[in-house]
Amino acid sequence: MRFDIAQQEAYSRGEFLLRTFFGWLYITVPHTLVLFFVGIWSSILHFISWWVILFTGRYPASFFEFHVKMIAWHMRLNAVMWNLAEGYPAIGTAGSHPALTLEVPYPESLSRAKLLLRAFFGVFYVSIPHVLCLYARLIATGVLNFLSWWSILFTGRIPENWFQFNVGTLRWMVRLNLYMANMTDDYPPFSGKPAPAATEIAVA
Amino acid sequence: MRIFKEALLLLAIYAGVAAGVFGVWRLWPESKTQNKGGSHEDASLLDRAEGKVRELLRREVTADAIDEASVKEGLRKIQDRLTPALGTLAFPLEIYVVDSGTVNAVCLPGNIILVYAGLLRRLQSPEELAAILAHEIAHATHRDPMQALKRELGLAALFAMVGGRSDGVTGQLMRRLVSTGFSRQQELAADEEALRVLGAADIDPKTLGDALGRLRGDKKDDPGVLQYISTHPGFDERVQLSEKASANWPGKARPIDLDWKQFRAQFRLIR
Amino acid sequence: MPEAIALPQPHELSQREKDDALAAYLMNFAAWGAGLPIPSLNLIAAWVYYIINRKKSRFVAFHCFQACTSQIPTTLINIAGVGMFVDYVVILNRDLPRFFWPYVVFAAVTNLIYLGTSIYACIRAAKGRIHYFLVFGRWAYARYYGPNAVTLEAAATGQNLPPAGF
Repeated sequence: MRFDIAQQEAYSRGEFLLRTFFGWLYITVPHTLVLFFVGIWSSILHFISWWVILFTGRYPASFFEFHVKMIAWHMRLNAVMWNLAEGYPAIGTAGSHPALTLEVPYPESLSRAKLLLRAFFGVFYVSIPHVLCLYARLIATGVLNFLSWWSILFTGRIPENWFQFNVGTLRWMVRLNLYMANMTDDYPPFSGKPAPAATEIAVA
Repeated sequence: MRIFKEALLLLAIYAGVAAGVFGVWRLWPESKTQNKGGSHEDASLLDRAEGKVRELLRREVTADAIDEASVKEGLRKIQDRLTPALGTLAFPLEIYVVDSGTVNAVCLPGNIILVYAGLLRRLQSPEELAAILAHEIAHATHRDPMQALKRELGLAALFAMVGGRSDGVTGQLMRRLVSTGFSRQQELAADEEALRVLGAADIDPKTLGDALGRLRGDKKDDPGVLQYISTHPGFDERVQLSEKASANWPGKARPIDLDWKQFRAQFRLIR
Repeated sequence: MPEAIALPQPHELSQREKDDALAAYLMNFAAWGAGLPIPSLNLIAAWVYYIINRKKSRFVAFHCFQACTSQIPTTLINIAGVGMFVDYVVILNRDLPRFFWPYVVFAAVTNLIYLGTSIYACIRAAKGRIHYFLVFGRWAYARYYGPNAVTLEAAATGQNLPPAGF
């Protein structure tokens, strides 16, 4: 699984300020409206996928791609609203952002045992631990966001460590999402660090 | 074309399922689907509603009823004769005489029975009054008034009454029940019960037929006044029924200890 | 006279096609997934799925079309039931008529029969086979594999073509 946002060297301050004061109106509102309806479709597909995995052990390929694009959409929206990337985030599952990469390998087979485990006990062994940690992390992210805002305003860029930390928060959320959505059987690690480069070179 | 054959088959399947379901419903033992007492959930709602209605009615009825001690005593004597033969009642029986020339008697929810003075004046003996009352009491025993009310006003009005919200409903209620009456089936069932009660109370069952005859009136009567006959259909049939019951009755008539002429004379005022 | 298009055999179909085809029948349960007990939601979901997938392959389009159209009678029966309920209880504020409960049983039975058939068709589609529904199977076949079958591109892009048969 690869999730990355390329850090940009310079920000357009005009767009930055516009986004700060009116971003909720011209970015968040339209996206949320469309996301609501597409979200209904997404939950239907989620529901159907659960049963297909239960009976066939496979995630339907088309649905998988749809959900990856949904996650990419959410992350796109977050990235722009957190000032990690610029440009109006494309609405819809067909959209993409030049700076954002999300690659999720299609699982050829999924474990039904883990599916049921997730369904009945997911709250206890996944949601609660991760949400507790993420809660703390999101506070930290919020602080860094705030500081980044001033950094962009005065220097036109975000220090790399802060940037990587915030991207890491999003990466963590993606991994958690993927696991709870039955798109992978790998338990999400308690960190936002990217997977070591070595394992990315998968042997075909 | 084959597609039409398949369409027919599809419709046949739906029709088959429908026929099966409705057939089972119709042919199920009648006692379970007949509206004798309604479903279990209905019953408790009706009980609560009937209690409330009874309170509301009592207030209005006692305002119009004749309050004389002698009238009450006379009614009490007749009621006491009938009481041992009656079935169980959900609420205590209350009988009132309404000071009006209308020829009618009606059973309201909450076991409140109204007898109009116009009807009383036409009867010739306390046994005849007992017969009319026995019929109305039978409606009370069978919980007919509440069923009729539920049918007429719907559950929504019943909800409102249980909540005690509308008071204007009560007058409307009375008028409606007085004018609508009960179903033919309910009337016949009430007659059967009344004849049984009369027999058990040492009153000749054919007294009911006699009483009905008195209420028929003649051509010179104002038709608007003779509401009893219009709200209790099947006159001839009922008279025949009472005569048959009398023929099969093994008991001995015992008159009620009430001076009828004196009792009736109290209802001289006719409006 | 144009020829009917040959039906694909299971070994000629890709895994993706089989997955997409089986999902068409699972749109029956869409309302459960969305959490909204609206009777027509299943039909709408099946229709949306059809719109999305009809370009992909003839096999998939056939199944989507069949799943969508065969929903219609069941949806109508359900709408009638819900409509009756709303009408009597909410609008008119009266008791439900006595035939309402037998109707509910009737609707439940027909729903179950339809769902059972759907599941069966779903399992067949997962294996790359076909189960033809009464009436709707023929309709779907005529539309996608019959002599006058639509071409996938035209159906999707909405271009004007002469009527079928010319």
